[in-house]
This record gives sequence, structure tokens and C-alpha cells, in this order.
Amino acid sequence: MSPRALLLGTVGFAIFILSWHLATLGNQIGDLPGPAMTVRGLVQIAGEGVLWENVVASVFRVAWGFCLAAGIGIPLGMAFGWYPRLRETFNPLVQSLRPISPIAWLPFAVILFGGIRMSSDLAAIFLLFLSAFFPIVTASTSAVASLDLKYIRSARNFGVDGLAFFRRVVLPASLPQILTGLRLALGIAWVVVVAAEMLGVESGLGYQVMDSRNALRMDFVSAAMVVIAAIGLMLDMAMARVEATALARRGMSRR
Amino acid sequence: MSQALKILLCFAAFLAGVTLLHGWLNLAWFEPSNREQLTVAHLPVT
Amino acid sequence: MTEQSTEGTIFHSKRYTSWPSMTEDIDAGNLHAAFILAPLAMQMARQGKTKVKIVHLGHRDGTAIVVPTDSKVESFADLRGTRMAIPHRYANQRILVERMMAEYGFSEDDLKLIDYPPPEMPAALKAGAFESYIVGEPFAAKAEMDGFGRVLYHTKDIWPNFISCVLIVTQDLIDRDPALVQELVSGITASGKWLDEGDERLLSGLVMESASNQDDVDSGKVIVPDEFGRTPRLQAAVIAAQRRYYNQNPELLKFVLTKPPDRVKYTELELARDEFAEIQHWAEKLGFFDSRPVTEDDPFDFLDYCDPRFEQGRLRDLPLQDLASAAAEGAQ
Repeated sequence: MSPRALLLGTVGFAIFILSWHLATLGNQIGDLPGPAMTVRGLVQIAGEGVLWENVVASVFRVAWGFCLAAGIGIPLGMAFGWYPRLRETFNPLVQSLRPISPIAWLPFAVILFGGIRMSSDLAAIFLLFLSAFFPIVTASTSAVASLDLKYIRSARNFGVDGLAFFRRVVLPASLPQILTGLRLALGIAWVVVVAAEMLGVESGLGYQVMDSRNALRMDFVSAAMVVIAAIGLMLDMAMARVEATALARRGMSRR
Repeated sequence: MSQALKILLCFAAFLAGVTLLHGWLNLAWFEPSNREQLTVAHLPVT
Repeated sequence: MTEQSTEGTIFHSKRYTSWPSMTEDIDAGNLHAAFILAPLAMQMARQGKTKVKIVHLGHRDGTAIVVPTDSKVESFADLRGTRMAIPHRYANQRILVERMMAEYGFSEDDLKLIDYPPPEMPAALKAGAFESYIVGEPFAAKAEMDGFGRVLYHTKDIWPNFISCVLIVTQDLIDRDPALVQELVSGITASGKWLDEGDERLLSGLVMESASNQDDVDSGKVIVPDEFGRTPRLQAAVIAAQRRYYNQNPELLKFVLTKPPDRVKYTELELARDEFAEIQHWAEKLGFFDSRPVTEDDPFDFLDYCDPRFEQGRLRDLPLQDLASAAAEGAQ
């Protein structure tokens, strides 16, 4: 990041925090919390250790949901991209399931995974899997389907075939779009985990928000929101890093 | 080792780590107890 | 409170944030015991997806109708033509309001009932989203303590011994381990008796702040501030305020439990047939059982949703510290 971008970014935050502070001046605990109250709340929940349990619970669910979605979604999407028949059969189904918010599946997920160990975690992971799965499948499908024919033809002319063809031609050429899809999916999964934990489970940052609300501690609510933002940002930066290194190696880094 | 493998290993290590941490912090995996247990649910309203 | 004792079953208290997530967990087989709204418990028993039985009460009363401090409303009749927030469609609070509407000759349109999340009720009353609300504690006390709300009625004035939440357990648990259910019910009876009739002996695991040392802090003892007081209700306020129970401000719980002390009651927790008949009568009338209406061929009776046998068991003793050590502490 250039010094100028860093500076401007800081100015953006400063403007926001200042207007937030002015708008909430003189508020008590229980009212809309201001930045100072939020920081004090943050220090308190971090000190009590509650926060870390909840952070770990949320990150754990997202990590599993996302990895399962990537593990199943990428191969499936690439197959859809490569075989038009398969795509024509299943893509309409995928596209019609995609707009359903995963939260709507919550009651079914709870019942589906009921009665076994860690069932509330499994239900949440299932929702996260759904939320990440569709963007990943869609990105992988279109990445492979839109492969430049000239790559394919020239590779064939050089006699590259089978697994080597997949590894040396299809994968590198579709990688940029798949990685963008993964990054997008991770962002969606993070938004969904917080929403899902507000309804179904008894740990995690979403639970922290709802539980603090029940406890009439709005400063803990805003503190949890700050943590949600920070971790969301970190996850996105990590994915951007993976994306950049993977692309740079192939001489395809953007700008 | 290829870079793709490295990324995969990183993901796997992260998954394993966060799973163990979650089990330890939230599910009391590593705390033996020989007393019988029952969970009683409630809301913070009387 | 049973987590305080050193022997017997460990009863974990799990705090949910919504009723549906609790009922879904019961239906999914993840949960076998819960404090739940009385009519909702009946409805679950009626639907029969998971067989559950009410085995005991957790408390009585502890619900209030709150209006703004500067409101001119002096009796229920003055609420005609206004809006009132209720905690849940299947809450006994709703039945109480419907019962009063009938008593005061209100038509259905005379009082608009709004489903509203309890924690938000005090703030929404202040903001004027409705003219009154009915809710279980501590969300009535909250408005009173903050000064912008006053209690129009405590339940003891309009439906004495009001039942808000009941303890349900699954039939599965009753069949599998009746002794465990017995232990739970006896423990709650004993805790209730202690709350209403106990003396100033401290529960084990508790220590007054002035008598505490670093060892007590390290071993996780619950520390009671000296100025807070040490009657059973104040000890309970300190325990329940902890994160693993209610996670609330102890001062607010102190207010709930002591101002006045009969705001909430913890004795007479036995299941009474006529009280449940009254609730069931209203639940039927309001259509809570529409998915499986009660008819002569398909009756629904007290013993279909209640199992009072565990209330006959031997009362257990709470682990109290003896007065000698309490006096010694006081002398320190």
C-alpha cells in the first residue's frame, strides 16, 4: 500500500470515528455507544476471555464451511465448465438455489444435524458451506467455460494431453477467476456466520451480539461489531495475498 | 515442494489448529469429568 | 445453582437468545431440559413432534405491565385504543393480557398487541413505539431503574401466582433416567425454598469480599461485595449475574429480586391442575393448538403435558456454609 493510500485511508476512518463520537456524545451504557465506550467494552470482553472463545468459534465454522465448499465446489464447477451437457443439466438448478439466503436453511440444518455431537457447529458449517459453495461453483464453471480456445488448440498441437493438459493448461488459465470466486465466497461466508450465530447457536461473534443485546450491554454489541470488521478484513487480506502470490508466480499479476 | 502444496498445507494446518482450539475453548474436549451432566436451557428472561 | 455443589450431577445452564432455537434443539434431540414459556410448552406437547412433559415451575410472578413514568394511564381501562408490546405470541403474558381485555370488555381492536423482543422493550417504550409493554423480568425493572418507566401492574395484583416459564424435560429423559429428573426438580425446589425462606448463611463457593483472599479468586469462588448484602436473594443475584447464567448487571437483578421482594416468588412451585386448565382454556381459545385441535376424540389433559410425580421426592439440602464460619468471617 502506498503512503498516500495509507494516509487517505486513515483520514476516512478519522472522519467516521469523529462523527460517530459527536453523534453519541453524552450517551450512557444502554444507549447507542460511542467509540470510547466501544473501546472500553472491547477491553473488557477481551480481558474476560469471552471474546476469544467466540472469535475461535466463528473462525472455526467459517474455515470448515469454506474449505468444504472449495473442496467440492471447485472440481464440480470445473467439470460443469468442461462438459457442456453436465452444465446444461445442473447449472439451472445451481443458479436457482443460489439466491436463497443460507439463513433460511437454518431450521432444517438444525434438525438435519440434530442429536449428534457438535450438532450446532455442524448446522452452522452446513450453512457456511452453502453460502460459499454457490459462488465458488459459479466462478469455477465460468472460468473453465470461457477458456481461450487458442490455448486449448495449441496445447493439443503440442501433444499435451490427459492429466498434464489439465495441470499445465486448464488449471493455470482458469485460476485467476477461481481465486477471485474464492475470495468473494470467503467474504460472503463471514457475513453469513455472524447472521447464523444470531439465530441458531450459543457461541461465536453473532451470539456475542445477540447475547449482549439481551444483557442490555450495547457497548459489547458495538465492540463485537468492531471485532467482526477486523477479522473480516484480515480474512480478506489473507485471501488477497494468496491470490496475488498464486498469480504472480504465473506472470499474471494484475497491474 | 510446489507452491500449491504449500498453500494447501497452510490451510490444513489452520483448520486443524482452529478445530483443536475451538474444542478446547468451547466444547471442553480436554476436561475429563466422571460426574453425570445435564444441560438445562433458558433465556435471560424470567 | 446446582453447579455450586461438589457432588451429584452437574447441571449446565445454557443461555439461548431465542425461543425457536431452543425448541428446534429439543426437536433435534440436542437438548433434554429447558425453562420455556408455559403455553409454548403445551403447544410442543400437543404437536407431539418430541414428547415433552412439564415437571416443575422455576418461579412464579416476575412479570409486569410497564407504562412511561409521565403516562396518564392509571388502570387497564385507560389502555383502550393504545398499543402494547408482548414478548411472544405463545407467551402466558399474552394470555394474561387477553384475559384482562375480556374482563374490561375490550374488543379485539381496542388494544393492539405487538410481538417485540424483550430486551428492546424498554428503549422502544422510551422512543414511543408503543404505550405499554408486558414482559418478564428483568426488562420491566430496567425501565423502572432507569427512571422512564413505571409498573402499572405487577402480576401479583392481576393474576396472583402467575406462571411465565415452566421446566420441561423430554419424555425420553424421563424414561431413560428418572433419577436425574428427580435430582433436578428437587434441586430447584430446594433452591426456591432457600431463596424465599433461607437465612444469611452463604452458599458454598461464595465468599464475602472483605473475607476473601487471593486463593478464593484463583479457585474461582464467587465474591459477594459487602455493601451488596448477603440474604439468599442477594447471593442469588450475584450468582445469576455471572456470564454462565444470566449475564446481567447484578444491581438490576438485585432490584428485581428485592423491590418489592414478592415481585418474583420461588415457593409453591408445584404444578396445579386448575392453573394449567385455565392456561389451556385460553390457549385453545386463542388458537395455539390449531395444528391439532382439541376435540372429544382427541383430548388433551393435564397429564398429557404435566408429570408432577417428581415433586413428591425427598427435598435435598443445599450446600450451605455453617453460621460459625460466617460469624468468623464477619469478625474479621
